[in-house]
Amino acid sequence: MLLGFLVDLNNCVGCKACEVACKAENEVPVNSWRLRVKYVDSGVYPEVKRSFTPMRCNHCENAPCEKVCPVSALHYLPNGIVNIDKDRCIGCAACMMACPYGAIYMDPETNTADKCTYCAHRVEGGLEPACVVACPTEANIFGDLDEPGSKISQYIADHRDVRVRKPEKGTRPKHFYTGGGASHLEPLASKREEGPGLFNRIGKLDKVGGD
Amino acid sequence: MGPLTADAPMLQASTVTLDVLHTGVLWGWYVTMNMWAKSVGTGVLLVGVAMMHRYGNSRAFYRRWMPLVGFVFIQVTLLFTVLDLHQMFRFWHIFVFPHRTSAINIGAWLLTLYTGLLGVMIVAWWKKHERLYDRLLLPTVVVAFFATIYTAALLGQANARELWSMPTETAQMLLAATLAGSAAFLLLGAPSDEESVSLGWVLSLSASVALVIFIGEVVFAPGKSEEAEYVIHTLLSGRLGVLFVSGLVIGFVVPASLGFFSAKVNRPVALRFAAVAGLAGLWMVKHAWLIAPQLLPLS
Repeated sequence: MLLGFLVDLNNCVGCKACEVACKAENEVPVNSWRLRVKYVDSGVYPEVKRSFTPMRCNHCENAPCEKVCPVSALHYLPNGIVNIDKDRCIGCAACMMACPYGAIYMDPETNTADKCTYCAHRVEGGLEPACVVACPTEANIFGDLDEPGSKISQYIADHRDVRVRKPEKGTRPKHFYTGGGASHLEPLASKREEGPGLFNRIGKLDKVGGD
Repeated sequence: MGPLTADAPMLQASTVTLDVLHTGVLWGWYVTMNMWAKSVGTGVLLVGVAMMHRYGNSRAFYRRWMPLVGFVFIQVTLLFTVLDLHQMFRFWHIFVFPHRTSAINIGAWLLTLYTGLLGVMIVAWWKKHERLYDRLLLPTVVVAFFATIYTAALLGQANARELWSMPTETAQMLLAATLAGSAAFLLLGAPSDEESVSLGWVLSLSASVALVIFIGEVVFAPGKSEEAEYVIHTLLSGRLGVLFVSGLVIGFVVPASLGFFSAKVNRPVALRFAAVAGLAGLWMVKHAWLIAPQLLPLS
């Protein structure tokens, strides 16, 4: 079994239901994301277009984060998921330096690295990841890449524009996209202004939760 | 200070309007201190042994300072390594749950071994066990060599960070060590004028070759990828431009020039000035080189 993800960008409407479901399912702290949806605007009014790209860990077959982790906190599960053991993590951030997709963050509550695990705990119980369940347009497709009859394998076989992010890095991602262009998948294809212009600027909270 | 970003050098027709903010610089000056102190800590062994080989009658000077300076600076390296961890009290996990493919793990073992060897050398020097000291020299130099270059392997594993994975990084680490090691001995005061000149040559040659490699890297890297071009732009004319370029001048041009021309000026003062400039500039360049790739947006 080799689990993978595919996002049909033609179907994504940028509702962020996946993002919210992920946060709720995995108790992701404020100002941190395992999964996020990037918005890119192009064109000049009235000919404007907004595109959406959900981004999460790519669960690479040749994961640089797994290689560089000095304590094997990042490790492979038999189903191909790159999992993380937060109790073992020493917080060196080497995985964050190694991941070309910016998919790993430092959990501000535990001071350890964290990332999408394809909801390994749900998958183990026979459930789909929370983001897949929450998606209203079935843009998120999850399944076994080793099984030719699975929905994801069929989708990859039926579409000619299946892409991965940064294939030149040699990481062999198990996260695919269809219907996307450079502005969806390449960081430098779009102008990016940090600060207030990026309209989800969120400050860090000193304290999370009640007394 | 606002969020750290680089100026995009290329023209883009679309704009990212919603995404998480750039995570910023995670490996900051603690990591720079780690690399800088390690250059001194291993450099004194690499340069010191060569000097002992060349100037046998000054062995006492090098036999005393090599392990002492090496030990102190490796402790500084380890201190900043541990301080930089978000879970510093789990540092021991590295030894209990070792991951052999990780350069960090290999480096931790190397530095621990190096510390141990230096510790025994200090005891041997203190107790005047010359035979033991001499037996430890070769293995300690070998460990010092690998402790110097493991950081290049670590940077090479940082797949997301352009420039760090340049093949020349190993040579840069070794040159940083010989530069820092020779500078340390010049500041400690070489036993003779002849040795000062030799150390000056090591300093200036290290600085010259490192400078040439840096120039080659910034000239050729932009052709490698769009990301590399972005990082080089940040390094040369973005917000790190002043730090990097002045670091190159202070740390490499000044020591290289003073080393070459030291015979015609007031040698001890000029060489000590070159040593201080070399150590200061090395820190500046290492820091800029560390920060720039972290300003590259990944999403």
